[in-house]
Amino acid sequence: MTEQARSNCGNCGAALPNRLAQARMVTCDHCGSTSVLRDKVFEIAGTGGEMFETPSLVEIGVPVVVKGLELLPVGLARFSYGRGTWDEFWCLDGADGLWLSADEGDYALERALPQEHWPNGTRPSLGGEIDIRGEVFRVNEAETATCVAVRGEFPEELEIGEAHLYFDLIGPHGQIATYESWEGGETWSAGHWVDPWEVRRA
Amino acid sequence: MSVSSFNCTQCGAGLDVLGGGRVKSHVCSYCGAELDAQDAYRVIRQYRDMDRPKTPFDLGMVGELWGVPFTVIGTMGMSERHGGQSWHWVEHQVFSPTHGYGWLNVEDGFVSFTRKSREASYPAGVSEHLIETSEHRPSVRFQGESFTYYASGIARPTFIEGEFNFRPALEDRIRYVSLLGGERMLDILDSGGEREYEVTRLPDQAALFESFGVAPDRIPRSYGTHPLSVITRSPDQLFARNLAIAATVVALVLGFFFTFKGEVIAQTEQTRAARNVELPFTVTKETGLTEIEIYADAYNSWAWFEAELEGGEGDPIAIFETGVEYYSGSDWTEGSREVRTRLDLPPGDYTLFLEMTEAEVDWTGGRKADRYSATVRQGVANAMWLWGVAAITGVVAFLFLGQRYWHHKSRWAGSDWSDE
Repeated sequence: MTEQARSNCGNCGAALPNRLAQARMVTCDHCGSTSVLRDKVFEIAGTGGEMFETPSLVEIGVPVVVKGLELLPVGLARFSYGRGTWDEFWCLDGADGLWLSADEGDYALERALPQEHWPNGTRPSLGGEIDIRGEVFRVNEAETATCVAVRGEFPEELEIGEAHLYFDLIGPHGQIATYESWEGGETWSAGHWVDPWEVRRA
Repeated sequence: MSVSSFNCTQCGAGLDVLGGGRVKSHVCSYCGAELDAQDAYRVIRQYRDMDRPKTPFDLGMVGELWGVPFTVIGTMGMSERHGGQSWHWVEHQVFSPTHGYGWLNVEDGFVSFTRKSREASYPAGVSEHLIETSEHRPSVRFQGESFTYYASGIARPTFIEGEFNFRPALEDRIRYVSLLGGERMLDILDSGGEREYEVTRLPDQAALFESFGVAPDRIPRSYGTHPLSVITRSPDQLFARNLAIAATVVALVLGFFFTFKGEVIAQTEQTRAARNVELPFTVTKETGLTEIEIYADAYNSWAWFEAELEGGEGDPIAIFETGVEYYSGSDWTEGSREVRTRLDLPPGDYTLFLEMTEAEVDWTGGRKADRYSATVRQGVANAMWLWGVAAITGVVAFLFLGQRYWHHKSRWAGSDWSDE
């Protein structure tokens, strides 16, 4: 957050957490409203949705060690695919930050893929193979999911009820890549699958 | 945990939903209908007359595996036939909201725990051709550990009930190659054109049955040694084992050191077998034993000696008989060309009279002893107590090491590998 950013919730006036330089979206701990950084000012964006408590190895604000990295989860976005949900934790690691996804025991740690490494002109299709940074990834799963709840802080704007199309790709040596698109945007990320027994409190 | 339920779309029976959002298939416990869990429980197919396998676990049982609660959500009876024999085991799909899906396998009275891995081995697979033609057990590297071929075959389901995160079918044929590591089994599975990797561990059996609340009369009796069972020693046992090994080595080293210690006080030249030896010597040391060593050049033969020891005044001190025998083949030897006799002699003058009384060849290509010699040493220590210590501690060390050896042998006893 920049020095000029307003640090109070536009809905209830409570102080917003302001420790993050790269936060573009934050939820109010007091009323659950979401605020989005626009023109160096946090503006009220909507509600954070209803976050039902589910068993999880990861909690916002509780540092975890994953694959030797000490991470501080600061944001949780929950996506629904109809029959169930999965969680995406935005984590800080002292660098650019990364996403730790948790889906019924399937954990993956991914960083945003720089745009110059995006597969050029290729749109994923289930079962298809895509070259990413010289390695072959196979599209293993395609899912449309809806963001149903958010808590904490995020590097991007997430809208409750917005549909996201996901393609999960499996690469060699336990690698994963994800293509995600939504109305008005798309992104690629890449990383590794994580054994749940490798996720532990710091 | 909260349990939701639905009614079977085929028979109307109430069924619990235990397995989370990634469940794809639900086979009704009552009518055998396989329902599509991702499509309003539409009936996919109907199973009939499946023989229910014997297992200590029921759907819905909850227990901990390495501190993580898992729920039994599915049951598959499995079978394999080969060479006129058949093997049967049970696989239960289990689910944890935090740790995902896995399997509890019931076989030969043991229960192991299997999870899929997204990492591949190097090399990625072990082909049937390699197994048939390799002179040694094939091995792969996986997660930094070496896994060695244990068994392979084709498994098929015989019974399906409950929830699964895939769509099992009685027609499925799963080719597997099992490779054994230290405390883990790696299975490389080929099914429907896909290759998957599974890692199996053996949990503490008593703790597992207690945690899942298995009634004592349902706990299966185990047979043999599970390939994943390991000998775990307490720190006290490890200390005792290391102490026994160290004590044996020290006692043997000291024993040999004292045995060969001593001062040569008389020695003959090589003497023809037909001639007798008269060897005077003087013992000056008051401590230690006097050792008379006789050497003969026997080869695949034996020689017998009569010895007489007189004091300085010609008084008889000792009369004894002894022999050497030495046999040798292309890769073995037996016996020794030397024999030693120890006496407790006070300081004084002595004379040894020695005669080779008999020698004979009794093995192919043997040579009768033709020459012999004698050496007298004084101040030789009596190492009998050290040999005794070495024997006792050696037995203890042997039992420890032997137990590990036989355990290792029995771990691999179920392997289908043949060196032929």
